[in-house]
This record gives sequence, structure tokens and C-alpha cells, in this order.
Amino acid sequence: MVIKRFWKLIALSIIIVAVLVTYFIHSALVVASQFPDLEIKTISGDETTLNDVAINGDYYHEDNYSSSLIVSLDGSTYYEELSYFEKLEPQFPPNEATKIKDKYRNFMRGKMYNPSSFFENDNYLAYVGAEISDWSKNHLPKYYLEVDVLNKETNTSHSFQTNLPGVKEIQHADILEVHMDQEDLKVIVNLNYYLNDQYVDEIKVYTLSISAEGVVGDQTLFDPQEQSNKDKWSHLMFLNDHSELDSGNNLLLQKDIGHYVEVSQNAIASEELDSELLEREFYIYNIKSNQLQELQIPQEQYEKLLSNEFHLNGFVKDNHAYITYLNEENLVVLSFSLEDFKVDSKQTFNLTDLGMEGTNISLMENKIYAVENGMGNSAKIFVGDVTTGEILYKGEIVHEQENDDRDDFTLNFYTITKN
Amino acid sequence: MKNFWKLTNFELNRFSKIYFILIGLTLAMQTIGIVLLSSSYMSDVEEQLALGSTLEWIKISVGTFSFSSVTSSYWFGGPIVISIVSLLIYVFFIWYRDWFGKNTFIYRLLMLPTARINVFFAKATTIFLMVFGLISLQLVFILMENELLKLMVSETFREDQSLNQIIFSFDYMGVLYPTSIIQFFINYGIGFMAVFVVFTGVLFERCFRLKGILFGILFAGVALFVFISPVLLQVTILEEFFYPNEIFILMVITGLMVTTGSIWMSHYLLNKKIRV
Repeated sequence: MVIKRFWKLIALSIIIVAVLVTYFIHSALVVASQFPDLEIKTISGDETTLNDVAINGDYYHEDNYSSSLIVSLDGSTYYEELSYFEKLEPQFPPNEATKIKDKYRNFMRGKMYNPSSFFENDNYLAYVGAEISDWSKNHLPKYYLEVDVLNKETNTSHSFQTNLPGVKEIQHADILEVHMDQEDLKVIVNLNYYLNDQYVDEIKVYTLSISAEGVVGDQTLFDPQEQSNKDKWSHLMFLNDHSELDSGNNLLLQKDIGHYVEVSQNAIASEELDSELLEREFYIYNIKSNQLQELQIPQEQYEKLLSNEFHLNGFVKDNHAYITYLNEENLVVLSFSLEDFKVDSKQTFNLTDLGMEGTNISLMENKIYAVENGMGNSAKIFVGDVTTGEILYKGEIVHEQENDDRDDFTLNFYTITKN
Repeated sequence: MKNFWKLTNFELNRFSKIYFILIGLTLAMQTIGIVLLSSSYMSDVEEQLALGSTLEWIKISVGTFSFSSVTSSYWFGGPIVISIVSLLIYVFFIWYRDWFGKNTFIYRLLMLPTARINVFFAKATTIFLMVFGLISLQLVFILMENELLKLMVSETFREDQSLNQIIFSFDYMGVLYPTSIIQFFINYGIGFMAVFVVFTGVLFERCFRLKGILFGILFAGVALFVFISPVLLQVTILEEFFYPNEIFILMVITGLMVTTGSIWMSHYLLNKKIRV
């Protein structure tokens, strides 16, 4: 009787519940089976060198779906497999700045998750962000510095805003490094603007007084006039690891100087400008002493460094600065003493022997971490000691089920970070 | 409770004819679409075969056939749009038909020996059931139509897609069928909250007539403002103060506030202000 009277309502409800429940179970299973479980298989060496190390990259399937992923000793984590709430987290993979968010939740509100903007020591956590207050009539941004310093002991923070002195019309401002020295903050900012029609980088070191809430000193590391020379261009780069909160007292800078040459491709086409690299210099800037020192590079290495089109990696640890470059199939690590700024050792890792082709590398705590970026369905990794040249670990990122020969996907790894 | 289900069943029955027509129209149009599109594709292929083209060449020049070729056509999207529009109109009509019928039916509904808010809930539940019913049946239809497509197009020229691939490959399907269950509740929760607000707006109009339209619009405006207030705060005075999961929790709270506010206001209007 009831069924006869209510059959439409009952039938509709049963269809809805049955179909939707089946759909969500099916979808969850499909998503779960889309991405293969990856693991790091040890070939030789000490696995503990990979403790807390995360290898970040992308997974591509030939059916046109992809996901960012992290591989560590614990296995693989895919962004697409995260829950709705985990996906709300600001960065994937998480960086040093997002990690301090969990510890200092209130302090981190409204801040940009750029590790270079932060400084942390036992007593303080400091943040300096370059923010845009307004846009000028000619569509150029007006920047100011947002400063916030947390006293960890009292759990109170002191924030203020200050203008960038000596800065007029700039295209872009980037915080490269924040360093706190007692009551003062040293902030290194990269400013981009046009000078005599040339796009220049100006690296400024601002000294900010927390008590006076403003800039008390500013210094330019390289004269931007030099870059505005039309016949000669120059470009500045920081080689220190940007993913770290604190890069230490010594910063490693690379300065490229080049010129434009006119190349006529054929008689009809107009002449085109091509740029040619002439010089490459490396400097150590000590934040504490405010000293800029050039690294002395022996002639044989200089030629290699100049001809190396790949991105050069740099790293400063204790009393040494390290620069890596590729020399044919060799990965070379030059070590410079920070006492006399000369090369004191050179280590070579043969990539062919390691069975690797293209690599992405990271230098962390006197170790070099390299991962293959060959777009295959596996990727080799190795860890080497930059002081001794010893290979500490060799391994490979592979699909967990070895008998499962899936080759319908490719992996591309690009960064290695330490948690 | 029994009265509520009786009323819901009654409301469902009243719209069932049109509802069955919508279901039939969806199935018919989508089936015709598959038959037409796949046979026109196959005739192109046969034409090429008659000209002596190789299979590889045909795959390049004519292309392969997949369910996406159907979902992007009016034959597939058309009935979905018609169903959505019909249900949107019915959100209003479910109330007005009681006033504008041959005899004012609302008079009898309001005189039933049950709480008047049950009438409101029964109408809302009817709308929700019909929405969920259509999206569930559409899923079943896609599976059936996919099988039909396999019969129509030979395997050589077919690119088979799974249900999830069909849904992922099309934007609006992603809104109707999110893979995450939380996203599903967000999408339909917002939709049903809007239905409650519109119902309250209609009741305002039914209580105060012309002036009521203004009240209704005002009520909807306030509801929208309350619902999105966490986001408004975030982008204006608080400058990115909230973390995304906090915004989510705040919007769940404001969403519940708007929904309960709508129900409470409708309850008040139905009991105290309604005009027959």
C-alpha cells in the first residue's frame, strides 16, 4: 500500500543513493589507481644520507593527466591524491616558509611563502616582504617593505612598513635575503628597472632599524650604470639556495658580462642582435662585514665556467664556497676557501659511470644530491661528498611493483630539498 | 514527519509528468546525437575507405571518434541545459502554481493539520530530489550511451573513454560531478542554499506583493553579502589574514546562517504574513 502510493519517491531515492554512492566509490578507486607507487631503490651506499630528503617533480601520463609529486624514502606523494583540505595548503611541495606556518600560525598570517623573505634564529623570526601599495600613472608598481619581527620568547611581534629610499621608477622588486643582526635587519633586494633604455638589475643592501622602524642605511653592490652601457650588458645572480630560510653570513654572487653582436642571417633579413658572454665573475658578499670579495678562478676552470650554458649551482658552508658545473660527462665541484678566496679542492663525479644523463642537483650540508631529469619512467639518484669526492649513495626511483611493466608515464624531477 | 513525506510525495507527483518528459528528452536527444554523429563519422570513414585511403591516413585526416565528440555537441549538452532551465523555472513555479491554479490550492495546503513549514520543506526536498535524480540518471545514461557508441563505431576508429575520462574532459561536467565528495557537497550545498533563499524571496512577494519583490531582492542581497563576507573581509580590510581552511570553515558557518535565516524567515512569513 505504502509502496504503491510512494513508489516514485522511493524509486527516485533509491536511484539517487545507489548511483551517487557507486560513482564516488568508483571515482576514488580510479584516482587511487591513476598514480603508481614509487620508491627509492638503493643500488649501493648508505641510505641514511637520504633521510628527510624530498625529491620533487611531475608525473605525466600519456592519457593527458598529470600531477606534481614528492618522492622520499617513505614512498611517493601525489598532489592529485591529497584530500580536499590538504589541497588548500598554500604550496606543494611545501617549502621552508610553509613549514614555519604550522609553528607560528598567527605570525605567518597574510605573509608570502617566499623562504628568502624570512630569517630565523633562536630568539627571533623575521619577515620582510616587498609589497605593492599602488600603481603609478605609467603603470609602474610602487613598492614598500612590510617588516614583521617575532620575539619567540615573549611571543610578541613588531611590525612596520617602510619605503624603499633611493628608488624611483622600478619594474620589479624581489627580496633575495633577510638577515638579522642584533637590533638591525639587513635586507638584500633585487630591483629591476630601465636605465638609459637598458633593463638593469640593481642589488641593494638595506639596513633596517627595528626600533626606529625605518631604513638607516642603503648600499648598492654593483654600479647599475655599468649595466646600462649599450655595448656591454651585465647580469647579476645569487647562487645561494633560495629555498633555505637563512643562507648564512656569506652570499655567493655571479656576475655575467657580455655584449651584443650583430648577426646577419641572410641578405634579405634585417640584422639581428645576438648576445655573447665575455666574462663571468663570482663574488662573496659578507653580510656582517659588508665586504665584497671576488673569487679567484684558475684559467683552466674559468674557460669551463664561461662555456657552461647550464645553470651553475653554488653553495656556501662553513668556511667554503662551492660552485658546480658540467664538463662533458663530469660533474665538477670547485671548492673555494673563504680565507684566501682561492680554489682549494676540486672534485669530479663521472655521470656516465653513474649511469646518468641530464641531472638536476642540489648542494646541502657538504653533500651534492643529483637526480636524473631524463623524462623516463625511472630516475637515478646519487649523493656525493663535496669535500672528498666520495660517492655516498647510489639509487633509483622506480615503480614499486617491479613485475608491473608500466611505460605509459614519464617522470620529471627538478628539485631536491631537505625537510 | 509522516505529513512531510506525504507532502513531498504529493509535490513530486505533481511535477512527475514534466519530469519524466525531461528524462525521456535527455535520453532521446543524446541517443539520437550518438546515432547521428557516429553514423556521419562512419560514412566519412567509409568514403575515405572507398577512395582507397589507409586506416592510418583516415585516423589522421578524419580523426578518431570518442565520447568527447558527443559531449561537446548540442545533442548532448542541449537536454542538460533544458533540464537545468526547467528546474530553475520550477523553483518559482512550485509556489506560484498553488496561487494561480483553477482554485487557490494554497488555501488547502495552509489549512492542513500540520506545521506550515512542512509545505516549505516538502517543496525544497522535491527540488533537491529532482536535481539529484537527473544527475544520477545522466550518469547511467552516459554509461548506456558509451556502450551504444561502441556498437556504432568500429574499434579501429574509436578511442574508448572511461566514465571519469568523459567527465574530466568536459568542464561543466566537472561542476556537476566533482570527484571529491567534499567538493560535491560544496557545489550542491551552495545550490540548495540558493533555493532556500529564492523560496524566501517568493514568500516575501506572496506576503507583500509588489513591495514584497523589493523585500525579496533585499533579502537575497543580504544573504549573498553574509555568505561571502569572509571573502570580502579577506580581500579588503584583513588583507589575506585567514588561511584557506579557515575561510572554508567561516563560509560553512555563514552558509548555515543564511540557510537557517531563510528557513526561519519563511517560517515566520508562512505563519504570520501569508496572503491567499
